[in-house]
Amino acid sequence: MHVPDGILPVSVTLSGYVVSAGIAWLCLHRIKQRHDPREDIPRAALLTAAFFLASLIHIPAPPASVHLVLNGLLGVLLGLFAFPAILIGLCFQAIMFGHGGLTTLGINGVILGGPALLAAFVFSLGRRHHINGRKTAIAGFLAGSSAVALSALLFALVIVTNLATHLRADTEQSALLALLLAHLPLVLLEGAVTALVVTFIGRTRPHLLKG
Amino acid sequence: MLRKVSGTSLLARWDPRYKIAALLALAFSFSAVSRIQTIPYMLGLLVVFWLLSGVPLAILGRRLRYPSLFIALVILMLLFAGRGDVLLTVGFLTITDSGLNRALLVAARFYSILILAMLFFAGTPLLTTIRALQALGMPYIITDMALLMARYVEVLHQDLRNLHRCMHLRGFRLRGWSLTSLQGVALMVANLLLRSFEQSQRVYLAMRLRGYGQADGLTPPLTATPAEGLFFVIVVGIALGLGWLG
Amino acid sequence: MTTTTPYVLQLSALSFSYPDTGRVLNDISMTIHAGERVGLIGPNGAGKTTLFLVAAGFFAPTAGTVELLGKPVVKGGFRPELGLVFQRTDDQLFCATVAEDVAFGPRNMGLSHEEVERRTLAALAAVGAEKLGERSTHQLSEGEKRIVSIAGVLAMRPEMIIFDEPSAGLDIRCRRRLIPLLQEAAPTVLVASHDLELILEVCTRVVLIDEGRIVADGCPRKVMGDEALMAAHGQEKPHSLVPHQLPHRH
Repeated sequence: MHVPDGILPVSVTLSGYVVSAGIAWLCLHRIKQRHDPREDIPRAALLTAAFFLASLIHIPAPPASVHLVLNGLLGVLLGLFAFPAILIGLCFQAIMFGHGGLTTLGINGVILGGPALLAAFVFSLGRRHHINGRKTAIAGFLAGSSAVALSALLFALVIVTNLATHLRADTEQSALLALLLAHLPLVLLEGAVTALVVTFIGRTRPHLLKG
Repeated sequence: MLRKVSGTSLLARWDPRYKIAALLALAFSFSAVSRIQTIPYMLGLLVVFWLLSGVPLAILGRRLRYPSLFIALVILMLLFAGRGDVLLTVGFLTITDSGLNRALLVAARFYSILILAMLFFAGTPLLTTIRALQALGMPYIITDMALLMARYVEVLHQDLRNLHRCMHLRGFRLRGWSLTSLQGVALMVANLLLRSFEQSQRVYLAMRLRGYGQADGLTPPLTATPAEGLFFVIVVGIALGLGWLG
Repeated sequence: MTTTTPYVLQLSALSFSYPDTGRVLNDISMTIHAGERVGLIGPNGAGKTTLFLVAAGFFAPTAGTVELLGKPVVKGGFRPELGLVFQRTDDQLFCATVAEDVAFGPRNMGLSHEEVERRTLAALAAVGAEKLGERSTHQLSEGEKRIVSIAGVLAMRPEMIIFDEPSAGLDIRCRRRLIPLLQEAAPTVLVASHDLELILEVCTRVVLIDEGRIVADGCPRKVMGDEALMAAHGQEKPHSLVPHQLPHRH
């Protein structure tokens, strides 16, 4: 779910950088207001590294194979750190594998990172009272699936609105529909994995879910 | 993968701060190319930077072998579903002039930026890139995270491999759409996250004990020669020129 | 071990408990004087690592005080006079290259770049790892990681170094190489280990703790040679202190 280089006009990619920088600045500003902003850096960094690796796990899902996005889970576990974490992860992918795009770093940050912050919020609503098995699982499913669903929607909108002027009208609509449908299994998969993971963490390290 | 490239080429020795800024300027100017006639200039620049980078063609080829599946789809879609006058009809597929035009532009821009980034990052260790970002004023929260990530991604990768092997030895197989497969993936992810969390607690203690956060990240200053600065100005000028050509 | 030498670390009536568990440290009083090499032994879960973390100021004790070189240790403070080498080398070596890792501490002490570099080179030389400077930390062997993590602490020139299980995971040759380092690393040394032969070779004094309490404190040969005491706290008398039943052949 990365917008590659070369598709979008410069005005859109530059705006992506501006919006991403703005959101990142807000997140960092809030983090710096904490008692000791450095305290959470190692945790955020190592969890980001773990997420980076988890997103490389290859899941055979006939007829294709999928990679997890896990931006919802990342939001749940990292909170405000989720947005900078995703920007760093995107940079690493671009540098290490040439994957994901350079000019589109900003817009990809918004597409993946914005929903991660939303997932953190959704999950915090779900476990406001206390952490119990079923509620945690449901909150996890909603956080995981809504994040990916929103990312897919943003992704499809960015792609289709920018290609629209060059495509025939019928193709444009079917392309949008196809893009969204193609992501539907991923939405369910992400929801399920996120639910299972937060349940596991809730049983073993509940304080990690307290945000 | 690209670390194997020797760090002696002109591009590899260039001050990393200039290199990052120049790469971004060029990438954006490439992405602004909107006329077929400008493509040769872009490709010419690419050849110049390839010569400056000393990256063997074989390595470049190896990395380009896995282009994004998605970009291929976009190119095909533009090619066969574009607007404009019909140039060619093959069975039920039609190619239009503006469709061909767009497809060529998208392909040229995508591959040019991809190759350019590879050339620029070849011979520059990840660590140097992060240091350069730090010197360019990136907030410490981001660069500290990136440095720690660069350090521990390998350690955690080994953890993940071991985890996978242990699960494999006890009969777990990742197989398509099934609940057990899904549970296995979740178990793997959850364990990886917990391990990284536990390790981060210990790392934090070790960092604090050696004064993490006491002095504001005093790192050795980067130094650049005037020639490197001049080269930067030239490259940015070229990028602007390309953007002006459009 | 004369009482006239100044103390380096003084723990007075120290108790500590984690929020969710019972007492981990229970009324521990201990004074370590300059020049002492103290071994800390005890079964798993006796509270050794917790003791270090409280002594280094990571956790505030629930009762009692910690004083380092005459000044109280406060939670969250930075005391470069005390170095701690952790059990797991991957936790200790958090920078990407060896030279950067060794320079991390001195840099945070606010020293000049020249001084940081001088100390880095000196510390690497002291452990015999001059050639490792530019290597990436994750590519080192376990033995190399251990000596580099010691160099990282040496570069801060601490008065006292605490080693948590320094010989864990090392082969015989690396362990051999470690022993003189432990003896000379700092004026004062505290070593926690299950490797009792190592303690016997390095330390001038040994403290046995169990369930958060000090149960013995004294001459290593005497404490570790007391079979009944050792057995009562889940330890074995070191092999070299057991009189040989069979004469050596050759």
